[in-house]
Amino acid sequence: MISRSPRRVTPPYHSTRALGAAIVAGLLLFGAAVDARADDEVVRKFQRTLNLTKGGVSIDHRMGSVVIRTHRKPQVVVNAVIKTSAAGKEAAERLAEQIAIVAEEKPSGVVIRTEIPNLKTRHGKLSFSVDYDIVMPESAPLTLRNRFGNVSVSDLKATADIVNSHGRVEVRNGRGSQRIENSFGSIDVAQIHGDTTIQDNNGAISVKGVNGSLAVTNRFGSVKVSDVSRAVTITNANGSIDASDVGNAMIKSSFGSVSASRIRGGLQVTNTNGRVDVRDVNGNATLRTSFGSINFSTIQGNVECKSTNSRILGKDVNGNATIENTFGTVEVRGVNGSSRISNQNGSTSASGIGGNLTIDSRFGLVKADRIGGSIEVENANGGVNASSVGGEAKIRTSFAPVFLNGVGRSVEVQNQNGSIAVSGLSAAAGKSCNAISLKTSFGALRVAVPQNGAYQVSARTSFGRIVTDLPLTVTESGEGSLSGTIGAGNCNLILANQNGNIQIERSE
Amino acid sequence: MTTDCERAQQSLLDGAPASDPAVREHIAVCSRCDAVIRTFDEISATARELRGTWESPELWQRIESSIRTEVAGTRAATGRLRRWHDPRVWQIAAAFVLVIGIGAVAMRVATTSPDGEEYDRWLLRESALQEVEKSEKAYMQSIDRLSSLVEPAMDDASTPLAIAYREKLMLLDSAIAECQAAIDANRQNAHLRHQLLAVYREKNRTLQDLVREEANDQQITAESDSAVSQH
Repeated sequence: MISRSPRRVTPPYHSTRALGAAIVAGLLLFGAAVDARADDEVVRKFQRTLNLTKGGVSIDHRMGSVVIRTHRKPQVVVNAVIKTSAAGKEAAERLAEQIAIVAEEKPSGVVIRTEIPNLKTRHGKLSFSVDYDIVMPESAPLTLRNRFGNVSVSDLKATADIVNSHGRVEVRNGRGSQRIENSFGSIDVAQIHGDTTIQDNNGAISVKGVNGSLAVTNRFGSVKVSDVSRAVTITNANGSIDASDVGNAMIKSSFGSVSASRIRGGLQVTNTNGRVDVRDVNGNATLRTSFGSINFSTIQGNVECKSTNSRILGKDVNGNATIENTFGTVEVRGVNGSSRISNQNGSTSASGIGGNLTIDSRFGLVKADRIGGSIEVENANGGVNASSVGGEAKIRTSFAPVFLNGVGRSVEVQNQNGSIAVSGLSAAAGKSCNAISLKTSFGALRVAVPQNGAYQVSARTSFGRIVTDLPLTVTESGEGSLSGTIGAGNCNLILANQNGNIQIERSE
Repeated sequence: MTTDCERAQQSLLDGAPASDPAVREHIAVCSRCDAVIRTFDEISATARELRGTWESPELWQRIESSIRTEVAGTRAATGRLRRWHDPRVWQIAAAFVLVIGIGAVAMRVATTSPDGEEYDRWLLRESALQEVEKSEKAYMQSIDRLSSLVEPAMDDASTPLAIAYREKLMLLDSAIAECQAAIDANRQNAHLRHQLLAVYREKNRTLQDLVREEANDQQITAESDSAVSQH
């Protein structure tokens, strides 16, 4: 037989009681903890359903958020949550009762407003907020006024007029014209089927997806716009602008950068004290700024830039380019049409110009390369360096050298106090030469002509030598002057200098 | 359990399932997670009701006394080793664990329950308010210092940039005044306090930019003067 140690029999209620007491204690602790939040807070809920057979919904609110959703029923369902806080529970409850939600059916539609008692409790304990969640008919117009709270409107298929301040505004999936105004808060709009007008003050604006036209005005905040089917007008001050995938665009800004891309129509940018970046414009582009750079690329139409104290960099223009600048560099590449550039106190560079190139410059170096048409440069106190010019070259400058290489038609250079070097001359089809006229003072003058060239040479210098590498039939020779012919002498080669040598070289 | 469920329940442990939009969306479509959230809410509600009807200051003493009696009885009847084999010890231990567990969960749920979090989003508690006011004070001090630096330039603002800065500062001052007037009657409103902080931050940043502009201008002027004098 197996002996067992005696086992004490304990009345079962002893352990059960301990367990029960422990559970109760736990629950009490639980309850106390749940209620650990201050007991001076009160939440009062308001709910009302109103019929809306005609007219719209008008909301006037402050001190809380407003969320608007829609349904297809002719009813407005108003849910409001009033949260109050005070030194005591009774005071909090009293405040919650004093805050009135007025929701009425009127001939003009449903009117909802929040009536807040006049409270003056500096450093007191009274505080509150009122938040709305409203479901309204999707086809009813909305008028909403709010202060000190966020606003969210979604799926409204009617006009909306929203004015808010000191809070964020979000509008989504709307149909019909929308007017949204805010201050000291951002505006975020997406997927609107209708013309949209947005105005903000000291808040960022973001718009994506408007099937209609868009007008945006802002101050002291950024503007970002994309996917707008029709024309866009953006006015901003002291904030950046970014527009992409829009129709015709008109942008005005100051003290902020402007970026525009994938513009389906024309583009007009007027900026001051800010940079302008533009690419992929289907129409013409007119770009103006000051004290900020301009960068443009891939413009299907003409481009017109006007700026002061800027750096302009542009490429790939299908039409013509007209550029005006002061106190900054200008660099243009790849223009199918003609280009006209005016720049003061800055270097100018143009390459890959299909048509004619005209440059008016002062106090800056001019460089031109691969010009399909003719080139005409009016410069002062700046050098000129041009190569691969299909048409004529007409250059005037002073106090700086002129280098020309590869000009297809006639050449005319007038310089003062600067050297001239011309090489790579070719003749037009069926012609053995083109007229060349090079004039300067106080500088070397050098020209390389083709071996088969036929020139009537007239060279003259006051203080210098005249040297020719090609056989020249001299017709007249004097002190500092030489006349004669090279080959058949079909084209004039006029070389005039005052204080410098003249050298005629053979082209390689 | 899906990743979304894990995230939802993790957020419950973190105490703020209602504050995460993704979790809210998931709870709306997931009955299992919704049930878990509801259970926590029900526990919270039940506990709140219990508090009013069952208050006993001597409860802890009674529990302790009961435990002491049990332990003493056990010691008297059995040896030290045998005590661990006594199922009552385990029951008591279980009771303790339960007490601590329920209490801990309750504290966790209550202090970070969705309802509480939701409330905090709109009306600040005193401790949060003090933090906000401390931050506001710091901004105001910084603004005062920066303002004293730029005040002469602002008084003589003539360039377009200076005028723009002045206009912005005036706009921000009007916003500060609006917020402060609203706060006078609604001190703990979280939106108002956050809005005021945001405007202070903006003004501080604007003044910093202005100070930088001033410094640049002074440097340019100094360099220009130096170049002229050298010439």
